[in-house]
Order: sequence, then C-alpha cells, then structure tokens
Amino acid sequence: MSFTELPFICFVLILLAVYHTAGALRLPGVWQWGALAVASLYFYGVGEPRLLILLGFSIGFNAWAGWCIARSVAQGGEVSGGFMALALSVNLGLIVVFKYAGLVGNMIVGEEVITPKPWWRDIPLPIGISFYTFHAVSFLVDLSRAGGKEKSLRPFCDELAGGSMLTGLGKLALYINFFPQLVSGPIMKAREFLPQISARHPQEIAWQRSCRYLIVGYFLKQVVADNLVEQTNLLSGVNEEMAKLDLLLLLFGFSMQIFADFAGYSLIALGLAGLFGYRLPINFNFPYISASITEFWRRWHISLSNWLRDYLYFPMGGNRKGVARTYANLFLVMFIGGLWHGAAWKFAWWGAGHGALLMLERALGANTEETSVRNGSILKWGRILLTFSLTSFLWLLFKMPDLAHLQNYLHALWHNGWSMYGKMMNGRLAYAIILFSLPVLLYHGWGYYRPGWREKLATSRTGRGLEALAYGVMLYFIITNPGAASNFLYFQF
Amino acid sequence: MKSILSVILRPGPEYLVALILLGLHLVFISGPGRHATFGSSNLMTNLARMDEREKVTADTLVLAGSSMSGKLLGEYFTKIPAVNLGLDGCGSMEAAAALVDAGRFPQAISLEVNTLRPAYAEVFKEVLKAQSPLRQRLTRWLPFLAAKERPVDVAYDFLRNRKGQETGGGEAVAWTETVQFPALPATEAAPEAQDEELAKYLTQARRTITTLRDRKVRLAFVMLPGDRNRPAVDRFAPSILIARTLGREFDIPVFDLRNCSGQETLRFTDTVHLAPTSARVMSQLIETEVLPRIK
Repeated sequence: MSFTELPFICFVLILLAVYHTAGALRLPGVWQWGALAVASLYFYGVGEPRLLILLGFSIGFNAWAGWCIARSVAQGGEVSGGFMALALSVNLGLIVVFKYAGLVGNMIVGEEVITPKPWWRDIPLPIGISFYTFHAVSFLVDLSRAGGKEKSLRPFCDELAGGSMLTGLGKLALYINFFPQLVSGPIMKAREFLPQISARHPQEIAWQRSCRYLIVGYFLKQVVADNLVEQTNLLSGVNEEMAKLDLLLLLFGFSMQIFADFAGYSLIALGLAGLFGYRLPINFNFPYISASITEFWRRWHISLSNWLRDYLYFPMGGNRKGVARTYANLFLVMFIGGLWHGAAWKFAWWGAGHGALLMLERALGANTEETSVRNGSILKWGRILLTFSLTSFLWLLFKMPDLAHLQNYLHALWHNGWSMYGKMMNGRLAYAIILFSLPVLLYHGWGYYRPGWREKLATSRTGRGLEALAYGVMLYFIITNPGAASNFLYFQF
Repeated sequence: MKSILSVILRPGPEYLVALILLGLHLVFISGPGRHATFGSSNLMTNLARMDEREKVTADTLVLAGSSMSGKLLGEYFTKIPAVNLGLDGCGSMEAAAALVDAGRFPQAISLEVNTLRPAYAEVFKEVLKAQSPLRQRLTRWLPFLAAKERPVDVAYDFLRNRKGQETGGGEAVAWTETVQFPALPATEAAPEAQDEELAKYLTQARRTITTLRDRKVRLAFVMLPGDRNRPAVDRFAPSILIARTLGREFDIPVFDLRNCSGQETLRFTDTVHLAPTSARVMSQLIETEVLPRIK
C-alpha cells in the first residue's frame, strides 16, 4: 500500500475512527496503541504477507533481547558486552543476509547467468528492512543506557523487567513497525518514540498542523516529484540529440525531484503520525541552501545523519582519537551510509564521494558553521552553488541504473553541442522542469530568508492569510495537477 | 462528542481557498473547454489524449498512431470532426485497442503504418497503469480531475499556441501537389514467421480490427512522412509488411503519403515529427484525398 493510493486513504480513515473512538471513550491506552500496532502489521503485510515472518522474527527477537537487557538494567547491573554484541549481530546479520548477500555473492562468482541459479539471487529484499533494523539497533542500545543517560526510557525498562513482556512486545512492535515511518523513515530513536506511547484524547491532537504537513507532503510528492520524474527519466537514456543545457536541466530536475520525493514522504509521515498524536523528527531543513557538504548532512535526511553519528561515528571514536582516525571515521561512516541505501556499488561510490568531500572540507577548514559566512554575500552564494552542484552530480549515482549509464551521460555532457535543431533547450523540458522545480526553489528561498520573515509573518494577519493561501493553492494542485503515481524513491531502501 | 467533532471537522481557511480555486477552474477551464492537446510530458500528453476518447462519436475521424500522428491536430480538419489519438511512444494498434477498450467507435480510423510493430507494448502498459479508473469515472461529475484539464498543461498548450509552435501561427498552406499514392513494396513472407513476439502482436491486432469491422468502422493504413535523415524504406519495411498483410486480410487500403507532398516542402521539428505547417498540409491530404477512398 502506497501513501498515494485510495486503499491507503481508506485504511487511515478507518484506523483514525477506531483509534479516536477509543480515545474519546477514555479506554486504556493499550486499545489505542494496540490498534496502531496491529494496523501497522496489516499495512506491512497486506501486499506480501510472507515478509511478516522476518519482521515478526525481528520484533520477537528484540523483545526477548530487550527483556534481558531491561532485567540487567533494573537490577542496577551492567549489560554484558558479549550479549549486546550478539544481539546487535543478529540484527545486522538480517540486513547483511537479506540485503547484501546478492552483492557479495555476485562479487565472488560474477554477475553472469549461472545454472542452477545461486540461492542468494532468490533472496527477496524485504521492504523497509534498512529502516526497521536501525530502529531495532537503537532500541537495544538506548535500552542498555536506560540506567544512565537515557533516563526517558527508564519507565519502559522497568515495565519490561517487571514482567509485562506482552506489553513490551506490543510497544516494541509499534516502535519498529509504526506504519507512517516504517518504509522510509524518518528513523526514530527508541528514546524519542517509546515514551510517547500513551492514551490520547482527540482534543489533544494537533489536527491543523498535521493536516498541513500532509498537504505539503502530498504536494511535494504528487505534484512536484511525480511530474518531474516523467522528465528526469530521460537521464537514463541520454543521446546525441540532447543539447548540453538539456542535460544540465535534467540533472537539476533530478535534484529537485529527489528532494521533493523524500521530503514529501517524510512530511506525510509526520502528518500521519500527528493525526495519532505522535511526533516524528523533522527530516529535512532546507538542504539545498547548505554552504558546505558538512552543513548539507546536517540538513538532509537528518534522522539518518543523527543515527549514523550516535550509533556509528561516536562509538568508532568520532573526532576524539586523532586526526587520522577522524578522517578515517568520516569516510567509513559515509561509505557505510552509502551502502545502507542499496546493495549496489553505485551507492557505495556515492557514500564514498560524500566521505571524500567531507574529508577535503575538513582539511581545507571549510567545514565551518553556516553562520560564519554572512548571508547574502557573494562568498556564501558561491559556496551554496558549489555544494549544490557537487551534491547534484553525486545524485547521478542514485539515478543511473549502473555506472555505464553514468559514463554515457558524462560523455554526452562533454561531447554534445550547445544547441540542437537550432534550439539551446527543449522547450517542453525546460517548461516542465523549471515550473515543477519552482516550489522547491521557493521553499528553499523561504528557508534562506526565513529567520527575518518568520516572526513578522507569524504575528501578522497578512502572514496568516498568505499561509492559508499557500496551503489552499497546494491543495488545489494536488487535486487537479498530480503526476502519474510512482513509487517513493526511498521505498527501494 | 460534539466538541470533539468540532475540533476535528473545523475547516481551516486553506480549504476555502482550495474550493474557490476549484470554482474558478470550473468557470475558466472546464466551462470553455480549454483542454490541453499536448501535456508537459509524454505521459501527460497520452493521458490527455486518452481523455479525448470521450469525444469520439459515430461521425468522427480518429487518427490512431504515435507522436507522428499526434502532430496532426483535430483543428486542422475542417470537413469532419477529428479526434487525435496519437500516443507518444506507442503505435496505431495500441491507440485502436484503447478505443475498443473504451467502447467508443468512430466513423473512420486512420491507422499510422510507421509504428506498426510490437515495440510499444511496455509504454502502452505504463499509460494504462497511469490512468486511474476511479479518477476517470469521477471526471464525469468533477471535470477538473481529467488529465486534459491539468492547469499546468493547459497553460503549456496556451503558450505553445501563442508562440505558434504547433499551429503554425495560423499560416494557411494551400494544397497544390498532384496526389499520387506510390505503391508499397510487395510482401514476400508472412510476418508471423519472423518471431513469436510479432505473432502475438498480430493476434492482438487482428482481434482489435475484427471488433472495429464488426462495428462498421472504416479503416485505412496511412504511412506518414518522417525520418528525414535516414533511408525511410529500410527503417519502416517491417511495419509496411504488417500493414499490407493486415490490409489484405481485412480489406483495408494502405496509403503511402511519404512522397505525396513534394518531400522537400515538408518541415520537421526533429528527425521524425512534422512541423506545424507541414502537419497541416498532411492533415488536409488525409481529409481530402484519403478519407473518400477508405473502406
């Protein structure tokens, strides 16, 4: 079930009715979060029920491991390092087998057709495994720290250790499998989500804010991304008939599309969670106004960056173990982060590219805070443009099916002429890409100047009027001008 | 409970704005029938053209084909109402199948020969997938849901027309050539013998044509000029063979228009698509010369 399909909308409406009826009747919280957990399992399994087996195993295993950890923490003892290593290995083992076995197998025997077909080529890729595995790791690590710095998890830890295994299992199932964020995030830490599980009355829900998240999310996905994808698909089939500007325009369009697609998904997830009274973290913060790659990663897919920082970069030593280790850690984290996106070398190259740029920035001292360069200065604009160009070129690795296509694009970009059939640009391509990119550009413009405007607009009647007008226009375009439905780009991860 | 409902159902001003915009849409786009002929992408052009099936009636001529036929706009035809079903990236049999699928049958169909081959099934599947049956059904009551009424595409169409790119800026081109229909190369072997995919394609094509014949639709195969940079005969030879085979079986005449206009006067926007003035010439040729001869 995709967020843009009619069955999904029916599913949400029914669930909202059940959930809020229970809330209005002041039934115990378990009715509400239990309904959410069961509905989330249904959401996950409705297309391919066999995937529930793996998800069920992950939930069951982590509930048991969590129970063992909770007991140690409740007794004031230390969680055994060996046990933690084992529990984490099982989780990471799942992702290695189900996501990377094919890549490793093909590395060993090559990608050619072999008879009989090797077993690893038949392993299905369970949807959302990258996300729910990260949730499980966060759960185990945060729970093991519940006696110390993660105090927000202490009540849940005591509840689990006190024998409420079933409650713990249910809550964990909801955390790992919460349907708005299950397939593509935002990746939430256990310490942020589990304390939120409680009973909620409909009057406690921020309906308007949630609906506005939904409006912006669906607008970005259905109007911007789904219309741009019809143009940017040309990237995979570039030929000698495309002028240079067309090729650059396609690349620009893809940068806009991937942002609109993923940020759209994240906002829909935020809105849906909000309708049930849950707050998910903001995943994007105007990434294309970043003046450095370091800043870009503080603004793009923030929940992944934070996860990698907290559960990988810091445990590896971060920047506290000398210059050489800092550079190595930066590169490794980005390389692993790249591979996390997909079991293909192109993703590893993409991660490695970002890792190399982060290292370079650090070496040049260009990884400074965003405030160090004055807004509006030529230097700032130059750095924004450079960062945007670098990230856009690296997106090509996401878009192209393989490195041969990338090579083809770069070859065309180098050799094709500036004009084709007497035109510098394909009119229709330029029209569609510029028009559908405009909302993303305006959004980032708003982000660039926002600090000054926000306060003025939020307090004025005109500001509120303009806000309502903007949402109304977006709603109108969602109804009248959606593109053909396409999967979310991050579904494949 | 009442207070809960008032919290949930309280409409924000944004919904009012959206309603006003939908009202304006109904007045300024749906009312005057400002429909997009060309979408802002190939897929959207196809969806807009598929919407046009609703216009097909017993007295219309349908131009079924690819984007090559797609340049021959309905407005270029003056004697008979014409509906353009030139689907980008598809072929004439796909467009004809879409007509049969919709259950709407015109007086006559011009079937483009150039794209008679089994290469377009995948694109056509994408078009069918992109068509939401629910959305299409709802357009009867809510016209603003139709693909041909997408504001962005209607605006694109308007800009194209203003620029004169597709209509030739109203420039009239008189038809002066003597019309002769050159013979197409004779068939040597049954096309089915070539491969399995082609056999499947021909089975489907025969089914479509049989349905059209049952409904007394007049048909013609029309070879359009195109491919100015390459030797046309070589490239289109398999399609011509299919046209002749089906033409013989179902008594459908085959017209080759490649050399009927004085090739040097035709203009193309790229290697295969006719420029507006030439598209107008070709449309007139179909209307005045082909239409009276088709069976």
